[in-house]
Amino acid sequence: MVELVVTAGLITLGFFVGGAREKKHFAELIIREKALLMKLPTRATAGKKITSGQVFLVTGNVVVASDHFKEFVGNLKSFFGGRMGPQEALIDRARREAVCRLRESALSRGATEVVDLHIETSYLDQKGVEVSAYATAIKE
Amino acid sequence: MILTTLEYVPNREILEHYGVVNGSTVRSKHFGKDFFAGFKNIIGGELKAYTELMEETRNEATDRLVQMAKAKGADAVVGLRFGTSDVAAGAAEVFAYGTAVKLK
Repeated sequence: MVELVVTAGLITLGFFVGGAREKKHFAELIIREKALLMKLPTRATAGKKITSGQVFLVTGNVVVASDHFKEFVGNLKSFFGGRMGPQEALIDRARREAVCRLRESALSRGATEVVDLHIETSYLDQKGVEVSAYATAIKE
Repeated sequence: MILTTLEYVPNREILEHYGVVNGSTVRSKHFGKDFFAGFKNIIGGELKAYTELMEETRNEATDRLVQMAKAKGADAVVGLRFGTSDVAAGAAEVFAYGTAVKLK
């Protein structure tokens, strides 16, 4: 009985606190992405060889933990199958955060463009989702 | 040492290829950090200690790759890629690989 109450409490905590934190994170990401788009425009260089500028490697990492509510819903969903919304949101958050960090670090090092972006996703010890983004920054 | 994910270095000519170079490292987490990460798991959010760990691990793998490239007399690594895997419980592996080249 006590266990049940504790579990229910943790799930409720995950739902309210975790949900609020996720909302806040998404709002932050939208602002940062907008600011980055203005300062570090993405020019279409696909298929074209870059002929000028200095190049260097830039990276962005993040590990985001799931919460008990997400895990609970995930366990239920995996029984019936179908789309796992909470997990989709978690992974989306992590990827966008990693790319944001990469672009911010490129900007702070004086880059004018970022090309050849790669994104790696993995699970870190079942505690969270780890995303690392790496790319080549070009400084004119 | 110039590191790039591109297959070339802009404006520079590649004189010689030295083949594939790689660097890998396995790191485990500090017990205390692991303990607090457990709490974070309830409410979600970023696990800063883990992010730091991954960053250190990545830097170390890159350092090893650079050393191997230097040993071959290269001055750039092109086509650089990273990979991660879980090799043991509580540990993370990062490996980096690329092609060592000499530039004009």
